[in-house]
Amino acid sequence: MAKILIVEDNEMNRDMLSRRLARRGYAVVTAVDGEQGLVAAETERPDLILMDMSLPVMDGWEATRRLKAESATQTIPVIGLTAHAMTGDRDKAMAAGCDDYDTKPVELPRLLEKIEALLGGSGTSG
Amino acid sequence: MIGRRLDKRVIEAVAHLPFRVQTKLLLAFLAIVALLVVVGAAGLQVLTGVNERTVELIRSERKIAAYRQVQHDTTSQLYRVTSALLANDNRSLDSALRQLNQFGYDLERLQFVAKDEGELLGRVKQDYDRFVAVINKVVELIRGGNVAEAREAQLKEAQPLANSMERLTNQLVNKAEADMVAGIDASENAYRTAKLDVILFAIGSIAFALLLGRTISWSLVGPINEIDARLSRIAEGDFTQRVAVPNRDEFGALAANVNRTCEQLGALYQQLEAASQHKSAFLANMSHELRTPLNAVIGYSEMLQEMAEDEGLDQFLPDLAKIRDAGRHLLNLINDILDLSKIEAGKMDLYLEEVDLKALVEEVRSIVVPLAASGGNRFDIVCPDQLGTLYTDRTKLKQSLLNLLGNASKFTQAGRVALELRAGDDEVSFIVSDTGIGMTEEQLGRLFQAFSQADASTTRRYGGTGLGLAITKHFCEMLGGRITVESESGAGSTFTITLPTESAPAMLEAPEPVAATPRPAIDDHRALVMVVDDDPPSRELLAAIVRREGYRVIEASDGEAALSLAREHRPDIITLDVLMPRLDGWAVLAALKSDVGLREIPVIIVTVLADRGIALSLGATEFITKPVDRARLAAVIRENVRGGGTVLVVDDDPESRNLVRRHLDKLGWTIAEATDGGDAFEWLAGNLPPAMILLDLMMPGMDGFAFLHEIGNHPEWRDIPVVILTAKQLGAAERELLAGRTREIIEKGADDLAGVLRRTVVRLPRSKSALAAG
Repeated sequence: MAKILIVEDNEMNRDMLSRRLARRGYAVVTAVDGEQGLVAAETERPDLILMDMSLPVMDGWEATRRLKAESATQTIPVIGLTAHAMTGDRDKAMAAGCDDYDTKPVELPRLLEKIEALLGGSGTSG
Repeated sequence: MIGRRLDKRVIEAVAHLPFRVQTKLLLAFLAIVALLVVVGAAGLQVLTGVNERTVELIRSERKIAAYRQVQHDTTSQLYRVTSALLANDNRSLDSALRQLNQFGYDLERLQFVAKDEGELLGRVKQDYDRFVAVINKVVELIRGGNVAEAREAQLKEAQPLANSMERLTNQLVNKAEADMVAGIDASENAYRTAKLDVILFAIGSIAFALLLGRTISWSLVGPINEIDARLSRIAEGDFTQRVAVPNRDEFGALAANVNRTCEQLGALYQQLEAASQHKSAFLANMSHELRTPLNAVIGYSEMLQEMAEDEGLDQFLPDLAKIRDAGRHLLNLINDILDLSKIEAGKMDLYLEEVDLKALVEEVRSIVVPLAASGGNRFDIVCPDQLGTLYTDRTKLKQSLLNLLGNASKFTQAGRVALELRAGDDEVSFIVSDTGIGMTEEQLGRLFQAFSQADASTTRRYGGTGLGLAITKHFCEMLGGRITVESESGAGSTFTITLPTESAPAMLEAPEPVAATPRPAIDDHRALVMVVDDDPPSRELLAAIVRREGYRVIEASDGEAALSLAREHRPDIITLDVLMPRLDGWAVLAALKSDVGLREIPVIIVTVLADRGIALSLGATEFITKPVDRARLAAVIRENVRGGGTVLVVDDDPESRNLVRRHLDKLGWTIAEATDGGDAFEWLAGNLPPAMILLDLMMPGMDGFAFLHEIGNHPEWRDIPVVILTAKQLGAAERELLAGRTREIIEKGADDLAGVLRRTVVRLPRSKSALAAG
């Protein structure tokens, strides 16, 4: 069973997303900011991380950069999520090291497709 | 060149005269009149001179006539006297003597006329007197009957005198004639000179009058041109420059007025600009703030729907669907408003690429078929077999087509919705037609305006945001194309989008991808900070602070310069003032953030304004208010000029490692620690190469020298810069040994370890990840 780490500061979004993913059979762990996200990635070793980009303490871009710089976590695929519909957000997220990107509010089927695509291989694609 | 400058000076001087325009014109007129008077007087004087000379000539002529008479008289007297003497009778002799006397009177009278020839005349008179004496003697001799002696005397004494007199009178005439000729010559010369003088004077006067006229006109026309040019610039939106005219007349007042107006307009413009930016920023913020709760509304309703389905609670499904649909609708509205505000703020970017039309049509079909089917409509696609590609913005074209097809499906019941593609030579038309309710002329008129569906009741009946067509029209125009519509109420509508196949507008060319424009190679690896501020003192202050921190600095004094310098030098960080003429800081920020090659550069807004929220929402990294706190600015730059990676500290002394860690932490570097050479190699084996290795020499286990030797055998690591940090007193031989392999040697216990470290690390090349991001 794949384990997904959701890093999201908004409580409702975190709760909703984790419950919906849990309903689909994923094991879900959560973190509320970038730093906690880094810690959770180290300790929980998830198969995939859903990373909100606008986070307190340490933002998602920085957290992703650090994840990708650490040998222990750099193979975990990261999907960046932003509420901005700015065209540049995608590039910015990809530049930070995200493996994929989606906008909020999430369209669950689309997000699931992306998750499955990234987990589809050995779970360490990217 | 000098002439032109002088000319300019004179014109400026005239403009600067503190008189009113009509006074200046009157003065110029009077000056010209005065010149005319002077020219006239000069001419009159010349005329007088000519007249005097004429009188003189007439006098000379008379004199010559008189002399000729004397000459003639002399000859005839001498002849007559000679004849009378030969005749030898008393009557003839008396008559000759009488006439001789008469001639003497004439000679005396002549002396009054001919003052100039007094000397000659004197000699004639002398000769005459002697001649008269000789003749009297001859006559006496004749009368005394002594004829032979008389003949003798006549021949020997009278004849030479007569000859002399003849010669002298000839001389008299000749001299007078010569004088006259000289007089005529002199007169002609004088006339010529006078004529030249008058002509030159006249030409000079005309030139002066023209110059005066020109100077006056230019002193008036100059400011008009200047003001005109300024007004044109104002019309183009440039409020920064002032009209500078030297005039202290009505034009000076006009210029001052224009300047004042310009200033006020400029201030107003800036306010409007700022307000518009605030609006955009507000909308961007709002949309973000609105999306977050919407996210929850939509997500939870979807989740509840799933749960209701699973647990068989079907009676809740329709209501949950309504909540979700309402949420989605609200989301679309927000998206549309954001799109429109971005379009209106000029911040909508285009991403041009080759678009495969066949694939695009298939995508559209998959989305539209269910939409059309929900209204009981048939959806047809008509397109030629050979469909090429279109160089355009795929997302915007797709969104436009979906807007039109969505509308067509919405406003048509049990009819037909169609998409037809027609390829022309250099353009492609997308024709969306339906057999729906259509529109009246009046509805067509306000079709493409924001928030104006054909009819207010339409919104209630058919839903939709009313923004779709306005956005679609903007998109088509941005892509260099157009949209047209034909419709008949009750019979359906046809929308046609026509786009050029190749030529997207040049100004909207997709920015070069980052990889295609590598950073220019620079030897100096210190991070580059660009300081943008229009006010020289504050710019210099900022630059000085930044330099003191050990960075390289480039300065830009306005927004346009900032953008071009940023493109040229790709600074590592930018400090940006907001209130600048022409392109202000918000505009520069927006431009930077919309440029793929520049958007990753951190921008610190440094301003007197207090718009932190706007700054951050427009993409600024940090926000510092003026007056600038040095320490804070330095800290912010340090935080944001990413060291870009890790420094491996190899030292057996934990105190030393701690000290270095504290210093480098502040500079944004990640620290890895190793206690000796072997430990360091273990770390290297398990991690990405660090940006730098800070190496102690004296360590237990593998020491610094051994480590350096060993790392030379590892090609993957030997290029990592190594800096020696040591307490050891190094000998010359050791220094030489180290010099080839290390970048710098820092002595422990140096007074300013922080400063030395900072200077060393800011010179490091940025790591690969930083390069890609920057």
